[in-house]
Parts: sequence; structure tokens; C-alpha cells
Amino acid sequence: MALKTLIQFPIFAPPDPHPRHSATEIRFSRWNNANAEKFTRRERTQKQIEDQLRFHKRFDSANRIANIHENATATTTTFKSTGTPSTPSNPSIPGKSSKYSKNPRNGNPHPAFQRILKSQKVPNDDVAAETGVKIGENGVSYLVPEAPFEFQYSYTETPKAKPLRLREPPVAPFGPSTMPRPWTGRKPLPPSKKELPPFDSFQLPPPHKKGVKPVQAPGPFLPGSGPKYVRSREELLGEPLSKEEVDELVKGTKKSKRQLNMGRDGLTHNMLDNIHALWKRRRVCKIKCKGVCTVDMENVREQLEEKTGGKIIYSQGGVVYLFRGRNYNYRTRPHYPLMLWRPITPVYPRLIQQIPEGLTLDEASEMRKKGRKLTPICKLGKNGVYCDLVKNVREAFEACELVRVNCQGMNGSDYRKIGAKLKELVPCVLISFEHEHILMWRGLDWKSSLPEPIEDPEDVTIDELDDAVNVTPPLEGQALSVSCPASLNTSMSRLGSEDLGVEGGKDLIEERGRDLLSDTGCVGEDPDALTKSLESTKIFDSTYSDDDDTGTLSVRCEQLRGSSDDTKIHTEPTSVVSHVSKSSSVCSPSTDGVLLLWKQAVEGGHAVVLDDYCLDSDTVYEKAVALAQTAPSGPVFRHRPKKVAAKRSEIQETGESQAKEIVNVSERKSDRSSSRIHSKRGFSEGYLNVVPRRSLGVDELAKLLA
Amino acid sequence: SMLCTVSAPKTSIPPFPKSPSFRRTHLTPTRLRVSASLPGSDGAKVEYTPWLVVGLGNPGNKYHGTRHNVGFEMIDRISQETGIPMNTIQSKALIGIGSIGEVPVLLAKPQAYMNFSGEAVGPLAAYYQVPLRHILLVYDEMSLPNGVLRIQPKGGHGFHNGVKSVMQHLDGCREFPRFCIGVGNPPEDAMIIFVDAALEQGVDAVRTLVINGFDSRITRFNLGQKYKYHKV
Repeated sequence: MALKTLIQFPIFAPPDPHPRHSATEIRFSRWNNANAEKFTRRERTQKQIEDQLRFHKRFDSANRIANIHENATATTTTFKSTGTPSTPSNPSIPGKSSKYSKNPRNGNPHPAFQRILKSQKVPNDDVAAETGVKIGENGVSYLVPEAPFEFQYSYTETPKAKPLRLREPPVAPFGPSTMPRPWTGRKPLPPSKKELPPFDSFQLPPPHKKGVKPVQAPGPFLPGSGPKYVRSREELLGEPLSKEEVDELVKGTKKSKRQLNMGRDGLTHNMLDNIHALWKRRRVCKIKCKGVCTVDMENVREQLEEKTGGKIIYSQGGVVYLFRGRNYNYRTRPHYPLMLWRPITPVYPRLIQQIPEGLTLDEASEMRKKGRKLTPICKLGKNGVYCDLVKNVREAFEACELVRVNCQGMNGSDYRKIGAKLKELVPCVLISFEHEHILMWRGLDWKSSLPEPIEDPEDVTIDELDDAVNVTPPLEGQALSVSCPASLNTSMSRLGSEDLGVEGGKDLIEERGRDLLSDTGCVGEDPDALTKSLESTKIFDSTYSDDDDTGTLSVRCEQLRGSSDDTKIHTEPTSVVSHVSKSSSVCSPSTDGVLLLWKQAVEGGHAVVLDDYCLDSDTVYEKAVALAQTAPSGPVFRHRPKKVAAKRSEIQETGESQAKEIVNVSERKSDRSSSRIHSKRGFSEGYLNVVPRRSLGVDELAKLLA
Repeated sequence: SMLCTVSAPKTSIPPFPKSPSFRRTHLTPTRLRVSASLPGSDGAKVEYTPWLVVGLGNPGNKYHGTRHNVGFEMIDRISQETGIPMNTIQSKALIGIGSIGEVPVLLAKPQAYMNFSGEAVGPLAAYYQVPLRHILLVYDEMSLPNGVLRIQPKGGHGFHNGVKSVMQHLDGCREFPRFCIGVGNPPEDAMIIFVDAALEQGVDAVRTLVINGFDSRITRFNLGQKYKYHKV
């Protein structure tokens, strides 16, 4: 406001030489001077007003952050009970909120931010059609005319249940389409006359043009094709990407710092717009998911592909890389109205019922009591990646019908959401959420997903008893001792010690015992085999006499032993693992081979047989040391494939006798074709004073030559 | 007629639905089996190549019963249960030869200190011509909680010096099965109780492994072990 200051002589008032104004004009003067300027209200432009508004907002928030500790000390005089800390702690980084520095809740919140929740009934369908809000089986969704699909606040986190009540009047959260700018209190301006060309992905701005953010070229294109203007979804994607293209894209995206984060709300509606904004500049959108949405990554990936029209080229853990499509054009992308606020979640049916289905009240409280002492299978961190949670819970259900998951430290609504998801994915029944743990029950109709339908690990013994029999057929008229009393005893004792599956186990063994007995009289056998089997059983009697036997078990074992001869005739499921002691070592040819080797080792001085009374660990150690000093060195274990061995031998060339080594290499190659170091070779290697033969290993050769 | 009665009781055991392959061997008429006397006639299911079960630990009374000697404890238990006496010293280890079922088994307790266990195991495996996939290493694993067992067909060394030495002496190969016995980290006092219970379960598991190889039973065993303390 430039006002001329006129120096006035207070004595005379000179007459106005230039009468420029009419008498009715309003004039304002600072010092009551007659020649004041015409008052013009300074009219600001729209841009200036908006800029000022934005500037003030920023300035105010910066001011608030800078003065936060000053504000914090100036507390209002609200009531605080004894023991309440007087102020929340100051954050070390001013303005950064943490759980220690939040203002007390009763800090006079502004009435504008106070939600007045009036619960409302769910409207029926005709009302819904008017307002555009649809309440259905899939939660709340918004019907906007000419939209390709129903809009929801979150496409992955909306519970698939019909809400019981609404907490706010059903209004679609989309703003009117005529107001994309901040409210300034004025009429909308006429549309700008300047024609900006729409951003076309296929006509890139020239590189290094000033003021243009970098844009990545469309593609990648197969050789011989170029960008196409297409509209349909499949054509936008183009040909499926080849492996090299995928690798290249993934490598490039791994380095990029631009990413979208997905949190406890999952894939929100406005995120679709963000993805397109990212696709304007880059071909691949990097999305990192953390927290609740990672429990069901499958669904997240599916929804992403469906709603955005892109293709997922890489997804691991919580990370997803979305490729935009070969022929994607930012100009022809779908425009969705943005949601301007987050609609309040309606009231859904309770997750935990006091008396779940299939249980009585007593059983349910029993479970809750047991659950309080149960060790949780895992602890979930606040914003972690829970991809394996479903799998682990399913596995844990194989072991026990109740499973507990520790969710301490998480947001209350977060672990409830996780519980809801687990309820659907692992089909299970939620029992309680107390102490920030999720307690689940596997439900009445739960089927184990393991190949054999028997659930208990103890029953493994029964199965292996079965299968061991199938596996050990009588060969060469040998005697198989049927009952492995020791194994039966151990399995029985273990069954007895655990609660689950005991009854089943005993019944089954009884059945088998009966079967064996029934078969006793059926088949005749050779007298030799009989005597052999009786011998072997006698041996077992002596060996296992010190095992604990329950009365019934021993009886059963007797029965089984008595009918041991039958097993050599038929493979009954009842005959069990056979133990072959040294005396009855004629049982299998493979054991014979090993025993032969053993005998040779003893004879050759490699091994020493101890008497029983020397089984103290110290004496054993001393003897081992003594033997190691006197015994010839043993063979070296070789397992490498041929070419690698050839390489190693080349590296170890001493250079002196190359020819010899080459010969050795070839010999070793031929040896390896049999894939075993024969015992003969072991012996020949042992004698160092013998002239080295063709079959010496390269290491030995090197040692000799060195 | 007699053979008919033989077959009848077999069908009376329906509640054990087995995998189809077993059912096949089950129901093939046993008349064939009587005459068949060829070794390894149904070697399809069992591998008769010998197994070498090695338990890692430190020798001497000073280290007897310590945390890292659970390998020795397990081998002792196996030898008790299967009746294989450990009475030979060969190649710096205390060994015992026997069989579980039809399969020959060598139990070994290397008497070299833990960091040099490989020097005992390598020559032993080579001498008895045990293939790499049949060398079962039993050792203590600090990443598992107390008393939890796990059988894996292959794996790494997990910073266990004994396993590292064994790998080195087995020509740098890691593809041998492992039987990990969990001892937690840091060490607990009540470890012994858990480990004793686990040893019993372990012996059975070793038996299954030797006879049947790696199959769904082993997976189920591992799962059961993983969640055995989460039962109520």
C-alpha cells in the first residue's frame, strides 16, 4: 500500500490543483490527508492463495514439531491419578512419536476429530443401490457406475463375512468429481486454456530434457515388434516374458529405491493409483508387504494381478515385483476415483464364540485352561512377515489339537485379524485371545495331511513293525527271529508313557499276535530252519532277559517267539525287526561281507578286539591312541567325480614323475568307475615299505616323493 | 486249504492301510516266497549296503555325559537296543558291527577329539565300503531346543567342528544324512531329562531309517519332534 506522504504545512491548506475524483468515492488516508490514494483491495490470484495456504500448513506443522517439547511441558490441568507420570518422555528426535512420547489421551482433542459413532442397521439392497454402498457377503463394497469391478477400501483385508451393523451412515468415501483442489472459499476458476498433451508412454520425452523426471522406455519388446496401442488386458501384457527378460527386470528392480509398502490394510483402493503412478516411470513396481497381510500372500498376489492388470515376475517372502505389461500406456490406464477418507469398519460377527461349535461349555473351558499352560509354537513380531505361519500351524496340529501363538507386542486389532485369517486358511476354531496369545483348536473334522493316516509319532513303531516284516523275507532258509522283544518293549513302554494312541497300539499288537498264533499250526517247515530259529530265539532270550517286561507283554512275546518259524514261510505283518547277533551272523550276505572285512582288519593289524571289561572310556581312548601309532594307515575316502579328481591331481603335481602320476590318475579313474575302494587296495596302500603299485592314491604318492 | 487259512487272517487287519507298494508285497502269494531264495530278491525296498552310524563326541571319562557327547550317548543306546557290541578299535574309533534287520550296521565312536573326528570316520567309511549316503552322523545341534531330534538326508555343518572335520575327510562332501540331537543354546541344567527321553525315540527312528530309508515316516518323525513340547 503505497501512500504518498505529503509534507503539510499546518498553516495553509493549499487548494487542490487537480480535482481527479468525485465526491462519492471512498478514500482512506493514513494521517487524514486529503490527497489519499484510492483504496483498492489487493486481489490475489488463485495460485497465490493456494500457495499461501499450503505454505502456512507446512509452516504450522514445522512450528509445531519444533515446539513440541515446549507444548508438552505446558500441560492442561486435567486430572491425573497418583502415579501417573507428569509428562510423556521427550522423544530424542523431536517430533518422532514413539510409545513413550505419545500425549496422554485426555489431552483435549479437538471436537472436529472426535468421532460420533451412531450405530446403524445394515441397509437393504435398494437403499444400497442409491447410495452406492453395498453390504454383502464379502464385507462392504462400493458400487460406482461404470466401474470394472466393485470398489472396496481394502481388497485383501476385508473380512469375508456379512457385517452385522454399521458404525456410520453408509456414504461412499469418494469425493465429488468436481473438486480435485483444496478449498479456498471461492468460485471455481474457469478451466485453463493451455492445452497440456496427455502423457503417452510411447512417446517419450527426449532424454536429458530439462525439468522432466526420468521415464523408462516401454517394453521389453521381443525383437521385431514395437509398442502397440491396445486396450484389452491380455494384449497389454503381451507375450509371456522369457527367462532372460525376467532376470534382467528383476535385477534392475532390486537396485531401485522406489517401492510401495503394504501394511495392515493390505491392498487398498488408493494403492492402485500409486501403482499406476509408479508404472508411469518404471516398468516394474516393487511392493514390500509387512505385517498382517503377509499371512495370506497367495491372496495378495492374486488380487494384485487381478486389480492392476500387471504380472508378477518375482515374489519371495513379503516382496512382490509387478511388471506393467509390454504395451502398457499411461494414457490408457483406467482412472479410478480416489477414496478421500477411510470408512469406519462396520461391526462384524464375533471371532470367538464362548461355546464354539462341537464343544460343550465344560470342554471349552477345559481347553482354555490347558491353553494357558501350553508353550506357544512361535512368537510374532509387530511388523513381521508371517508367510510360514499357516504352514507351521498346520504342522503343529498334527502333533496336538491345541496350538498357541504368541503375539505380544502387537496391535490388538492386528492379532485379531491374524486370528481371523488363520481361522479361514488353516481351518480351525479360535478359542481365546487372552494375554495377547492366539489359542486355536483344530476342530472336530480334522484330517491329517500326512500320507499315512496314523497321526501319532508313536504309531510309527507299529507301522515300522509292519513294514519291517515285509522287508525281511526269509532268504536261503535262514531263521528270522520274529519278535524283537526289545523293540516291542521300547515301543510299548513309549506308548505307555504317552497318552495318545495307546489303546490303538495295544489292540493292534494283540491282533497281530493272534494272527501269528493262528498261523502257527498251518505250515510245516524244515527241521533245520526250526532248530536254527529256536537257537536264535534262545540267544535273544539271554540277551534281553534284563529288559523290563510287563506281564502281558512277556506273554505276548513268548507267543510271538514261539511262532517265529512261521515268518520264514510268509511275510506276516506281525513279525518284527529281526536282530542278528554275532553268532547268527549267517543271516544276510551283506552282513557277511562286512564281517569278513572286519576279520581281515583284525588280522591285518588295523583293528583290535577288546574284552568286555575294558569298556571304560579312558581305557578305550588309550588303546585307540596306542593302536593309531602302531597300525598302518587306513584308506582315504574318495567321493569326487572323475574330472574333479583329475583336476586335483593336476594341482598336486610334484613335477618330478609326471608320467607316473598320469598313469595313476587313469588308474584311479578306472577304479572310480567301480565307485568303491576295494579292500585289496586298502591293504596294499597300508604297507608303506612295499613298492608303490598302480593303485596308489595321489596323496600317498606325493608323500612318498616328497 | 492250509494256504487259504494263511491268507485269511491277513485280510483281517484292514485298519492299517499301507502305501500301495507295501500292499503289493503283502498280498503276493507267499508260495512264491517259499521257493525264492535269491539274496536281495525284494531289494527294491531295502538297501543292503551297510550303514555307518557315527556318534560324535570327545573321548575319555572327563567328557563323559557332557552336552557335546550326546552323540556317544546315542550310539551307546543304539548298541544296547540292537545288541551290537562295541568291542573293536579300528582307525581311531571304537566300532561294533552287527545288523538291524537285514541291513548290516556299523556303530562307531571316534576316539579322536571332536575337531579331528573326521580322521577316524573317513578311513572307516572307505575301508568298509560304506557309500556316502549311508553314513549317518549323530551329533549335538545347538540350534534345536533341548531334546528335539531331527533326521536330514543332507545339510551343512552348522559351525560344528566335528561335522566340519568329517566333511573335510569325506572328500569335502556334505551329502550324508545327519541325525541332529537338540541341545539348546545357552546350556540348561534340566537338559538331561529331555535328552534321555529323546534317546529312546531316537533309537527307533534310526531303525526305521536304516531299514526303510528316507520316506514319509521320517518326515512325520521330524514333525513330531519339532512340536513335541507344544503338546498339552
